[in-house]
Amino acid sequence: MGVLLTDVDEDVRFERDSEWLSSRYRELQVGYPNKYVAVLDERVVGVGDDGERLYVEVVGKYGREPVIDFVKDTRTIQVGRLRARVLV
Amino acid sequence: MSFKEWKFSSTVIEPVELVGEVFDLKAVVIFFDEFGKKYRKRMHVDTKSDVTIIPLSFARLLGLKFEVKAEVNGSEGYLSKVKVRIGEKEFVTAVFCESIGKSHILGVKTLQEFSRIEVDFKNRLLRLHY
Repeated sequence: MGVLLTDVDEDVRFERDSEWLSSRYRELQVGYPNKYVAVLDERVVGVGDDGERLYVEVVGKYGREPVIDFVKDTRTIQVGRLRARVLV
Repeated sequence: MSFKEWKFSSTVIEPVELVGEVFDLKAVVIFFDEFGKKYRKRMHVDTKSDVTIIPLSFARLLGLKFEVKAEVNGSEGYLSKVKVRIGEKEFVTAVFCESIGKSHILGVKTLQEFSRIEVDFKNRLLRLHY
């Protein structure tokens, strides 16, 4: 049975999931390089190439907002708003 | 004085001897649509972006008004205003709604609502002071 969370609880949960994603980022880089991941209740509930589409899918399935982030691989650097891939 | 803080992640870029560890500053922002419904986003913090940037599709979901057209680096979009909450602070800020973009970026115009931004690289903490 699902647990009904209040709006404030969901704010706290979202912050906690965002923190979880930051702390697990290097593990996620191994499993999901160059993918968007969706995190809900401190676990990955979806992976995809399009963050917005992933968001809609997860909200449709769980009825709650996941934390979505793009997981960079270890050969891509951000240069301004561009992504540069190291070619060695 | 109080603050809101987030732990941020880092990536070790190869070749390690040339690039090494780079940091990715992220903050949680709550957006409100025209009816007050919340949308929570984990956003990249960019102190070089003048305004906050969101995809146009998300701006449409929020029901923002698109009155001022703008172009940034060949990317078309609209300037608008949106109500947000960061930590305990709630305010209206300027936002660029990017037609082809998929990024959620927290820009300077939004950050300057706070008294100070602090990046603690040693402990990997980003703090926005009220």
